[in-house]
Amino acid sequence: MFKPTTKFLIVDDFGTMRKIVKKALTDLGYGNSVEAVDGLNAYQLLVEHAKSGEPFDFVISDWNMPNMLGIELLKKCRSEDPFKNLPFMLVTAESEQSQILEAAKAGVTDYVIKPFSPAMLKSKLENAYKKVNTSAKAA
Amino acid sequence: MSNSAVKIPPEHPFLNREVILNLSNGVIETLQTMAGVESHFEKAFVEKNWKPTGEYSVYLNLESEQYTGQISFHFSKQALASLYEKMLGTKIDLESPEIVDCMGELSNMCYGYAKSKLNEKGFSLKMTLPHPGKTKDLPNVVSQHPHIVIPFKIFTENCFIQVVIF
Repeated sequence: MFKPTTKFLIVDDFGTMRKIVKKALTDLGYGNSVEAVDGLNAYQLLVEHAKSGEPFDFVISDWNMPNMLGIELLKKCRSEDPFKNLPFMLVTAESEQSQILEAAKAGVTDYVIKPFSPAMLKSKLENAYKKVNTSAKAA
Repeated sequence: MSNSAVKIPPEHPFLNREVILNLSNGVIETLQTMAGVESHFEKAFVEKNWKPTGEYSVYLNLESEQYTGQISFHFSKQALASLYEKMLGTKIDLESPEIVDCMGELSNMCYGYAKSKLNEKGFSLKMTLPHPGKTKDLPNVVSQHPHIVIPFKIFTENCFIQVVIF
C-alpha cells in the first residue's frame, strides 16, 4: 500500500465531498492532503508544488466541476512530463460505460463511483497501488 | 395526497415510472452508503399549488436530446445537519453555509445515480451541475409547468423530490 506520507491532492467543487475524502484518507493513515476547488485550481497547485520540490504523489478528483472538468485535468496531466505518471483517481457520480471508457483511454489509474463507502475507497487505493507498482516494474 | 387539474402528459418521458423509481433509488443508495441513513418513500403526487416545506432546496436542469425540465430536492435544515453529522462525524451549526454545500453534493450523487440508470434505458440525459440554495430563492418555474412530487422521510423529517417538465 502507499506510504503514510503520500501527499494527496483532493479536487472537488463541493467542500463536503473534499472533507469526506479527507476524513477517509485520514482514517486510513494518510494525513498529508491538500484541497482544490476545481480542475483549474488543482492544476495550479500541481505546478506550484512541483516547482517547490514537494510534488503531489496522488490526485483524487471529481469529474463534473466548473472551470475545468476532472477528465480535462487528467488529460492535461497525462500530456505533461512531470505529471505523466502521477497516480490519478476519478471519484464521480458518472458511471456510464462511455465515461468509464473515456477515463480509461485518458489514462486514469482507477475510478470510484459515488456514492461510495470508506471501504470502497480503501480497496480502490489498494488497486491503484498494485497498478502503479506493476507499471513501474514494467518500465 | 391530493390531486388537481394540472395536466400531466402521461407520455412525457420525464414523468415515466422509471424516472420516479430511479430518482428514489438514487436517494436511498446515496443516503445509505454515505451516511448509513434509511429513506422511506411515500406515493408520488401532483398538486397544483404545492410548496416545499423544507428550508433548503437544490435544482438541477434536466436535459435530453428532445426534452427539458428540472429536478429539485427539498430538505429541512435539521435533516441536512443530521446527514452531515452522520457523514463526517462532527456536528454542524444549523445556519452554516456548509449545509447548502452538503445538500449540493448529496443531490449530485442522487441525480448521478438516476442519470446513469436511466441512460442505460435510453433516456440520454446530459450532465448537469446542481444549484443549491434556500428554498425561498428557487426560480419560480413550478407554477408555470406540470410537475410531480415524490415525498420521502429521513429521520423524522419530511423531504421531497420534485420533477418539473418544460
